[in-house]
Amino acid sequence: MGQVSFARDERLAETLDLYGNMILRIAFSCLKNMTDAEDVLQDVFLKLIEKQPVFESDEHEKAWLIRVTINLCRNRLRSPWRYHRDLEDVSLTAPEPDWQEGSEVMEAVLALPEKYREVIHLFYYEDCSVAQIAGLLKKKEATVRSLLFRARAMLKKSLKGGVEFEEV
Amino acid sequence: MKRYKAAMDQIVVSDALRQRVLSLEKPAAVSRWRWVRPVCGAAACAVVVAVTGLWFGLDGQKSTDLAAPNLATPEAGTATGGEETADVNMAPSVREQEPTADANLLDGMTLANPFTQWDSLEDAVATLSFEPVLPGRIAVLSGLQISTMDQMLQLCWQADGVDYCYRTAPGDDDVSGDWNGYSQTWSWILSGSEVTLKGEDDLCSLAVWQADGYSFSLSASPAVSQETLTGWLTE
Repeated sequence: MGQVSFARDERLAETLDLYGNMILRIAFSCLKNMTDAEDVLQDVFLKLIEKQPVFESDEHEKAWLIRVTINLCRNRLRSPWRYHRDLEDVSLTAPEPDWQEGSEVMEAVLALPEKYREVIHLFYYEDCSVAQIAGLLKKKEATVRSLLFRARAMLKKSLKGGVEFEEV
Repeated sequence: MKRYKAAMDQIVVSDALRQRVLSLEKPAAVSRWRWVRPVCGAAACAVVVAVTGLWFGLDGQKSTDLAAPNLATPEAGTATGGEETADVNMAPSVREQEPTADANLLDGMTLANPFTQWDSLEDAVATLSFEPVLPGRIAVLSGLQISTMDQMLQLCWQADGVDYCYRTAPGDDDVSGDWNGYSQTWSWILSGSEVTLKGEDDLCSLAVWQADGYSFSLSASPAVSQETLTGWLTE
């Protein structure tokens, strides 16, 4: 039993080292605050411990983690509790990142509606293809392309200095 | 988007967060008795619903019992000329009318019934200060439910599965008591008086008109064709 627990902890630490930052960043891009993002990271690992899924490959594992992260973020966004947090809890919130560079772009992306933030982050930060994003978000590829197109248009409009995009 | 990537790179799992995640324990196994609480809750709700239903059911029965006796007697269905009516099914509002100002129990409140029911049209008319006009077939109908309220005469009957109600009173106020907003209205002339027909989907629910200082109404439930409703007034 001790060996199983040790092996589990080792595996958990490996997964955290490999995908922890990715999960945290996706959660932050969805929820726009570090406290919730950290809670989501914790919840994702709770799911991992609870479900103990068997992955066919690293890609499969990554896709599972992204999918669970997005689902948990959406649950939080739709939870009324999110809007009724007591002021006392403010002391428990995680410090927000002190953007040293890219603050303007970050603010512009975070100002986008949730569905656009998801595709922008997955496409430009996680380097997911349109097909992969479509699979992760359970949307049609054409829909993802359309979301990306509109998101880019909104970002171009909001960023006065302009922004360079890689084409789909 | 390089600037976005650079900004996102600043978000990393802190040591404290890493410790927090790695110290997570598997949630306690779900008890095999997990169904006990919801089942008990559902059972409690069922008991409350059953008791409430039983209480209101008995209460409703009490109200019916108070209203029913005079309708159950054969005399209650007697119409003009002493004809006995065997099959008179009136709308609830009509059925609860009492020969005297009896009271109905409704939700614990005592409501006086303003209508007085009569066994014969002659008895009803004798209480009125005017001679009511009963056009067409209504005057010779059997199975009329006859009632008065102050100086208003109300005659109700059923035909072909439709409940009809005819009202007349002195003055020019609308005596129908039907304040529904109907999407369609039509005009029709009866003995030189303009009758307003109201309804929806080309079917009439109400006819109201005034003539010679008196106000009249004829309602149908469910709604009927214009010809059917006006037929009661012309034939």
